[in-house]
Amino acid sequence: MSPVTTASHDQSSSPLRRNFQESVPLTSKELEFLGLAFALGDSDPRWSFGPGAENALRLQRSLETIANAWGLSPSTLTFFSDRYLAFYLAIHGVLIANDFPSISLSTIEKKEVLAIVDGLPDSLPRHHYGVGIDGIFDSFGDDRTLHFLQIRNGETGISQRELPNGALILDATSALPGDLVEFDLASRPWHAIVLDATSWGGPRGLYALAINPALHWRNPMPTLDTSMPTFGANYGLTMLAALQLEEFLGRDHRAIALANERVREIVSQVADVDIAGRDTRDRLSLSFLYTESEELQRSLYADGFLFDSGSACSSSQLEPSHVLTRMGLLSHGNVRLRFRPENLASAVEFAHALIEKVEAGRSRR
Amino acid sequence: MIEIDSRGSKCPQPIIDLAQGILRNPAEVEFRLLSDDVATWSDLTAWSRMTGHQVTASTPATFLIRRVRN
Repeated sequence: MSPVTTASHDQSSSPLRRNFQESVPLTSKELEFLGLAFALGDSDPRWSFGPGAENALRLQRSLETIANAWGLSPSTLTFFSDRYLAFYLAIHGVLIANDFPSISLSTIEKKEVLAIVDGLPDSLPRHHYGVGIDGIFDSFGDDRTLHFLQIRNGETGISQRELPNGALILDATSALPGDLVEFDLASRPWHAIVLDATSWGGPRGLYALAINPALHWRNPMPTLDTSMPTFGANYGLTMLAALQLEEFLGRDHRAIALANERVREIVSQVADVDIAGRDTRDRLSLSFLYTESEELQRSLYADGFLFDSGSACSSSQLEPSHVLTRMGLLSHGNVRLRFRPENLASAVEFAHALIEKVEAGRSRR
Repeated sequence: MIEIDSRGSKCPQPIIDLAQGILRNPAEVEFRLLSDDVATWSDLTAWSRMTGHQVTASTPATFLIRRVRN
């Protein structure tokens, strides 16, 4: 049972048609959901659908939808509104319940993860493994170590093709449903997995922590009751995330991958472009040498195209993306795209507009 | 050795200055780039991979580049 009815989305006139940004305005279905939440009488729709038998059933179905899509049991999931807290509970909960000789993680992990690991006791050795130009980790270290591993990188869309042997905590916050299934987790000693609803187009501020019940984990913050499925999050966002996940699973993912590949082909005709990885599904990261991304963004915005950038030296960011830097990819002139059904029809048009602007910018220098 | 002073410039200008310096001095092999922009080192790493030239030495604000191809 879905908390809202389904409404068709007119793609031809949608403001999302030329929007390739990571996060986008609410769709009509999402607006309908929030309208229903307001209609229930709450001033804050995030806290709608509170306790009650009918809502408990709705929540349970939402949990099952999310868990099933990731190949997990609903009883393993706890939802949070704070990503840092989810990572903290995962890392510290596993470490205090087990006796690992060291922890190993990649240099492109999220800054909050690196900060959590930096805060671990000095007596616990930590290894930072490097990342190649293709985004694949160049070494996983000792098999006895606890590995913290990013399944898919959010900036570039590059995914890992293999998992290390040994104990795992998986950062799946930028992964796509299906990514975990490929790794046959049932046969692997995974301790904890962190999900982020934005990875499937869900709301910001909703994270899930999955704890493997077959392995040891101890709550490092006993004052927090993590047995509650929506601890630290809320019913409304969880239901909305399940609704958006159903929409995500129903997408034509092959069409999305083909549009991604077509844009790559067109853009690669330009000299001096650094394209991150292969098979990056719905994401694409391009960096153009001798190009200022803020100027590029302004120019394409004037034509109605929206995209994100991990470039340095913009008005909002002076330092280069640590992900691009660690991978050895060009950190200026960066264009970051996310493909979704609404923008596929504009993808080729966007690619041609992009290379035209890049070449015009270079010729002025 | 040709010295290219890009101090005070933000990316991608130091890399553009370097590329133009190499283009305008076809007989020169060694170049010294002065840049105090935090992004220059990571940009140079990618630039050398993409263009085939070599970064032979660096300090926080000085980079030595060797032309490998014309």
